[in-house]
Amino acid sequence: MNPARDVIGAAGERARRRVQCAAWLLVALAAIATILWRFSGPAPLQTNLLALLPATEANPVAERAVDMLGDALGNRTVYLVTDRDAARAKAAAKQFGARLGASGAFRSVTVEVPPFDLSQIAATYLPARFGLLTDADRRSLEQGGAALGERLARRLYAPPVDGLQTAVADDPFGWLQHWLGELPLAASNLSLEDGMLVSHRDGATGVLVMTSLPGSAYESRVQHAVRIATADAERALATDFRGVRVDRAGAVFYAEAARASAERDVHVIGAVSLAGIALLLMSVFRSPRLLVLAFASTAFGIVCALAATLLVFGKLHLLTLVFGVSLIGEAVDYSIQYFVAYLSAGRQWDARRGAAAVRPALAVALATSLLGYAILMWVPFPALKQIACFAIVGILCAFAAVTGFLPLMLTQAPRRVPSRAFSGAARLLSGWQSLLAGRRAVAAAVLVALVAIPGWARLKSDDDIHLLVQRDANLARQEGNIRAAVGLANTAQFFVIQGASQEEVLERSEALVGALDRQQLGLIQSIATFVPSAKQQAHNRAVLDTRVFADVAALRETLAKAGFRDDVADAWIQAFSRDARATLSVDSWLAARWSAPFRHLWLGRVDGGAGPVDAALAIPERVDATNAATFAALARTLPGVSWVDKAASVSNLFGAYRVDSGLWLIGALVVVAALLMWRYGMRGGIATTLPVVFAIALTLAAFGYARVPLTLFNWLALMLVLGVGANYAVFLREGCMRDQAGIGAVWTGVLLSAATTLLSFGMLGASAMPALRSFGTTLAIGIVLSVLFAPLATPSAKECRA
Amino acid sequence: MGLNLHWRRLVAVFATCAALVGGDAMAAPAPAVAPRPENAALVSDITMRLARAGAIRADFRQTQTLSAMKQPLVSTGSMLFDRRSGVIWRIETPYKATYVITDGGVREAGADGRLVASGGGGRGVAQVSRMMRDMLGGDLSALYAQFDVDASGTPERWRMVLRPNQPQLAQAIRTLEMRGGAYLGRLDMTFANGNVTVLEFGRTTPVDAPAPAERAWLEAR
Repeated sequence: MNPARDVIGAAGERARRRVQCAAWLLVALAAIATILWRFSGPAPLQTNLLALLPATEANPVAERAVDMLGDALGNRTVYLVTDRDAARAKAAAKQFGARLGASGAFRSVTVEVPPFDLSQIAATYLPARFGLLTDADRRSLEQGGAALGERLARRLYAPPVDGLQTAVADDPFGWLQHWLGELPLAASNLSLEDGMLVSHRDGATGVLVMTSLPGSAYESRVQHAVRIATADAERALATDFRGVRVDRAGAVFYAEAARASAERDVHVIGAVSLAGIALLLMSVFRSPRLLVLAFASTAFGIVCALAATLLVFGKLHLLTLVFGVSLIGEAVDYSIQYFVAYLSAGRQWDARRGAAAVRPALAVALATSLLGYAILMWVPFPALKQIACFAIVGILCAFAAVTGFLPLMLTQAPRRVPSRAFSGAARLLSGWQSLLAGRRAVAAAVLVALVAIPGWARLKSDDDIHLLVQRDANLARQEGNIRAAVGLANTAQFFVIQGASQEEVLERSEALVGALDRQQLGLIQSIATFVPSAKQQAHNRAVLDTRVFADVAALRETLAKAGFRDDVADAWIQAFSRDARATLSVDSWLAARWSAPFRHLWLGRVDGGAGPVDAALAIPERVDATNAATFAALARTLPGVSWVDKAASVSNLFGAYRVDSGLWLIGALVVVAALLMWRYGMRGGIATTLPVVFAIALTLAAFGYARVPLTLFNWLALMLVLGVGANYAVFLREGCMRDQAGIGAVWTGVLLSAATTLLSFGMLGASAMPALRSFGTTLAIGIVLSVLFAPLATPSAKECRA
Repeated sequence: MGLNLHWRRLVAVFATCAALVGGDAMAAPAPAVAPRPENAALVSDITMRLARAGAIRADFRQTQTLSAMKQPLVSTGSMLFDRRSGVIWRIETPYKATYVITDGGVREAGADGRLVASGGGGRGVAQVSRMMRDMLGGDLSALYAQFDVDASGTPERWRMVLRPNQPQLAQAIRTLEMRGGAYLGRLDMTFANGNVTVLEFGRTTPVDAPAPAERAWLEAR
């Protein structure tokens, strides 16, 4: 041995270590820089709950319609200021609106609506009046019903039937007036008083305050400003107008609430799991250095995962954020295994060899976990894809840090070994093992089956959309109040009509409206009720031509007899021949100022998958469980018409994937079993798979006994139970194969891993998001059971020696 | 949303007219908006008086002066006003027809007594009728919110002139002038376009209740 060479070797070793440490640091810094860069720009948090929803519509136009309608309604908010006393409600609304307006949080605040010239509506339609007939008028004319003279008398003497009046000179028979009367303009319960929009309900008066936002409802800056302004205005109202109630509705409030609750989740889960993990590690390892290293490697994994997710997806779902925090508990497992090997090696510790010894166990564990998450990737839900991406990158990086970075740090042999904890664990294990060993394993299996099967029989399922998109209950109640007071149209379920041209869309819309009319399915807001197709307008003109204007002399005589001045009658008759070509088009309707509140009915030119198409919406006034099915069936019979019910589609998708995920679970189980058999042989493979199989079986039974309906997310969580739960059996078996004497240390490691995972995933069970709650409870139960059965995987003494 | 809200105002005008035609304008709890002090007592007296009868029958004569017509259009007939359910408007000349105006809209009674939807879809009318009921059950504040009210005369022989005090309403109506004693005797509606409609009521008598057939019409859904 040449001491000089040793010194040189040691120096070279130190230099190499320093370079390697610098490389790890560089990667970590790069990841942190990416995150900081992303967070410094527009907030990368996705607070739009609808963004969690998968694309459900086979038709790209329908999917586009959902987005466009969401955008159109997204940046509006509505407040309803209610009091028993009408004058007080109005005064309060004025103050509330003024306060909101002064806050600068809104682009506009409207309490008193500006006067509006009603004649604008008639003016839009007047040039094309001879092509506009109601179905009733057209039918009556075609059937040659009442004589023209009688029609005139009714028009002139009957009490006013229609809301929008036309001048008798322009519209002697009142056909245009009838037509205007059928416009679906007044689908609301509001009236105008003192220039304010007011609703009277249950003896109370509600005054509407409408605002528009200066930016997207999903920007945290906008959300923050709106929240502050609203709280301030409400406070002012509470002092000046005690007892006045304010309800609010708007996407911005839901997004704000979702973000706040996710942040609460992150804080609680983060704090509890970090503190718990720190406490656990400290109490067992009793080394602050190991604790810091454990958190460093875990943090490395989480930071890389965050950076990678932001790079791949651009935006971070709240769901991912919350789930990401809970990944700490799993990522820390690898370092725990490494520390256990480190401590049990004691004086003989060699960093490089130690790493090589634990690597197989960690690699097998990593493979099973990755498999679990990879399956999440396959499910077409944007949120789950992101969670899977986050988890895969996170645990891969944590694994890399443990096998690459920790050996650089732990070169010295441990000074203290928690041998008492290890020997205690070993006693616990051997006691438990003796209960499960040999023949008893078969008995345990039978027992598990006996316990599980009645539980399975009680399993129920739930595919509601609220698993993914849960709206704040308080806000939903307030929105309900406003909807009831205002009579806001439903916007969640509607028809989408597409065609090669505007005309085709209009004709197909008319076919739809006609079909709904025939089946008496209620009123519908459709572009066709505002703009008839050119074909329909031509038909109407032809009816007037043959039934009214065929004999101009007789017509003039009839008008004169009814009392019309000759010049008025002549002007009207001339207008018919002059305006014969005038056809109302979608474009001229869109150009009218008053059409603004209805323009969302026309989608315009959109990408239809196979080239651009024209598209429009038709929104039924009332949709319930019974008629929704009829609407869907009707849409299937009409060309170019689809029924869009996003909530139902998502629920269907949940259901379909819930059923599929059961099959995937079995498939994944087979893959895991094959992987383990490949490493541990037939017998060993089965023994190592068995604990997680029992765990899954009993977890399912537990849900059955508890009568908690199973959701897609429970099944997906079982996938993770498989991935994570198999780890414990693997760790135990690998530990045994490495060093039968150090089994106490390995079991300690397994218990610690399980405890940390339980802490973080278990905390998910307390999340406000139902999907994550399902994940959390399933994982918690599954992990406890996996650990409980993990000793089944320990090889027999004979196998160990081999 | 904006538009139908504006449209409401027009509806409110019809409602006001219908209510006034009914002769039972508004029962009068304490007005929330302080009316002109000099005639507030008279206005409140008149409306209270009109509100007293639960149902009335009267003959009417309607004269419409329209610029497009060679001469005024005159129609006559009778009407039944029931405070709770609505109005039955029977035109005798120049043609015979019976209209039933309720919360459900304006419908026409056919020769066989069955009700049929009248003219257009009747969508607007449901609003008219509902607003009318609101006004009837309601208060003077609704009246003052829409009109400047000027009253003169005595409770036995009064005259009330309503002028829209908001531009939206003024687009349709110039003035409403009412005259009467125990009951509304005459209503002059001058529209913004210069057309004038005059309603004159005669032989007004309070009744306990509508006849069974009429009740069936008023209560038909």
